[in-house]
Parts: sequence; C-alpha cells; structure tokens
Amino acid sequence: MRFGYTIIYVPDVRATLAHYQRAFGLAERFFHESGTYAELETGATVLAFAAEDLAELHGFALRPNRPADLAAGVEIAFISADPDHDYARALSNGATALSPPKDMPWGQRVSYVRDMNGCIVEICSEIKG
Amino acid sequence: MPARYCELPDSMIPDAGIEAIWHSRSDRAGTYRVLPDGRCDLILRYAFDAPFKIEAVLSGPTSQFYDLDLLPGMAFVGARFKPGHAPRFLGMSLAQLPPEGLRGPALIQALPWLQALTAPATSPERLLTRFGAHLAERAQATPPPPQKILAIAAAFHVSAGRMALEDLARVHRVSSRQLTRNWRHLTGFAPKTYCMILQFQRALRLITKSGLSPAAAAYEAGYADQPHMTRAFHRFGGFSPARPMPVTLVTMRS
Repeated sequence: MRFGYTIIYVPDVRATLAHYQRAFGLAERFFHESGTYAELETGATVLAFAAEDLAELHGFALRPNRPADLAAGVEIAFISADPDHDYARALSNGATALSPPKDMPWGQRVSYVRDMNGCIVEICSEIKG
Repeated sequence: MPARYCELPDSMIPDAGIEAIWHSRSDRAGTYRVLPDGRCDLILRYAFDAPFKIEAVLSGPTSQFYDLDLLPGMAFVGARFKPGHAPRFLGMSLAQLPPEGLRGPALIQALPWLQALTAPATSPERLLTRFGAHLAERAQATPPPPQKILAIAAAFHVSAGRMALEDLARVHRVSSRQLTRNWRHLTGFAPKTYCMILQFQRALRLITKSGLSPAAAAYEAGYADQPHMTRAFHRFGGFSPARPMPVTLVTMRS
C-alpha cells in the first residue's frame, strides 16, 4: 500500500480551501462542484477536505473540528524555507497562534498554529540531516 | 413490506434545508413501523386512485416508535426537513408541536398556508410537483438559519449523538441552557433525547447496513455496553438488535 490522502472533515469545504490557500500558500488541485470535497496541490500525498456531514453517509461518527474545542489528536506539518515568515502569514489569514517559531535541539525551527477549524498545523524548517 | 417508499433524487430538492422529498404508496393492507428519527415531516395523505381528498399531517417530535396501519391505495407525499430548518419552512416553533403531531383541520388552523396544498390535484404527479413548488416558495420567503445554528446541528449529527450537551454548548460558545432552549424550538426535542435517538439510528445502521455484530455496533455507537444498546433498541424500535425489524432506513443528513 502507499499513503495516498490525508482528508480533514470540515464544516465548510470551500471556506477551508480558501483559508489554506491564503494562510499556507497552497494551490487548489480539485474542487468538487457539490462543495463536499476539495484537494490541495501537495505532491504525491494529497491533503484534502471533505464536508463533515459526509461522515454520516459513510457510516462513521466524528468529533467535529471546531476552533473552540480541544484539538483533534493529529497534526498536519508543512516544511517551510522561512518558518517565521510563513507563521506570520498564517496568523494574518485566519489561523490562531499556538506556539511561535522556536529552535529545537535537533536543529529544526518549529511553530504551531490552529487552522480556522481548530486543526493543529505545524510550520517548520527542514530537519538538517 | 406493504408500502413502497421512494425518495426523490437530490437534484429535485428545491432547497438545502430539505433533507428529502419522498412518496409512498401501499398496494395492500399491512402495518408499517415508523421509527423516531428526530426529524419533522410534512406529509400529504391521499388515496392513490383519486387524489382529491388530501389530508395534511405534520409529524411530531416523538421519541416513540409507532405502527401505521396501511390500506390498499393509501398514498403519501412528504418532505423531511433537515434539523434546524423546520421552523423556517413551517412558520412555527417546534417547541409548540405536540409529540403526536398535528393533522387535518387542527393543522390547517395552526398553519393556514397549508390550505392550498390540500386543494384537489389532478394526479399524484401533479400533487408532488405542486408540493415541491410550494416548498421552494417557502424557502425563498425565509432566511436560512444562522451559521452557528447550522454548526450546532451538524455537530449533533456528525458525532452521532456521542457529544455531551455541555461539550456541544461550550464548543459553540453558548450556554447549555441556551442550547437546550434553542434545540427545543428547532426540533421539539431536549438535546439528550435527540442524542439518544441519533445514537440508536446509527447503531441500527451499523448492524443492518455495515454488517457489524451487535457487540461491535454497541461499542462503535458509544453505548456503555450491549445491554444499554438493547434497551435503546426496545425503547426506540420495539425490537432487539439481534433481530431488527425490516424497517425503512430514511436518509439522514445534517
């Protein structure tokens, strides 16, 4: 098997897509006209958004992603050439600060935000190998 | 099953606030078990061969199952509203609707705009078309519910009744009291009862559609244990999880 998708269930796919384009500088790859599914241009592994009410149709139940709730136990991490710049851009475009950029002992500069739906997004530099 | 139940395709639903437009017709006598689903249906009941005597029925916020006695030629056309949208279409708060609902003259008195829907129709197809047109008009005449209400309604459904009232309230930045009051207005139910109905409906689908064993379904649906689920099935369905009745599973979307 190969890892194909990370799909985040959100209340508003269109708004989340726009949010990720502005806050994290990503491009849209696909938007379904029904507004229930969209993909970002993220290379071989797709980051996608699905309407949370699809869960019911598929037979599973989820804790809905809400900014005022405890965050879901998972993060999306973006490797950035300039984490400080990209962290600031995220905050200016609807993301909420969680942890400003810090240098980690293993040689990585790491920051965390919560996206518009409350999901944890890490913005970090490449690990220096 | 004595009744044939069909839902119109999504493309024929005139507004996002309507979960389904359905029609049903029975060609022989029998009983049809109606399960509580937390929803409100506006129904027109008529005789299939002569769509002249039409009775309007509004199903109530009941948490009890009931058996409908069907006779040959009985037919229904109905609209099921998405949670939170019914008051806007109907023009009444569901907090005022008795659990057994309203029908006939009592319903027309409460909602005079329904009178036009009970005028004789030339055919069942015409009746259905007219019904859809009226609903489209009602949709245009009223603003959709505020975003926060939609987010709350979605949360109930997405979590399939597994989120506690306090959580639902806090996460949407309202007090438990406000949530309870609003939810009663929107659905006629207390949040806790609504959650139990959702939980039951999910467990039922896990068993009958996903093929999970009762033990696995109880776990996934969030019951404390299997006996709790069995009690819920008897309360809301009138049957045991091990031998579910062949009931119609309606489309449920938030």
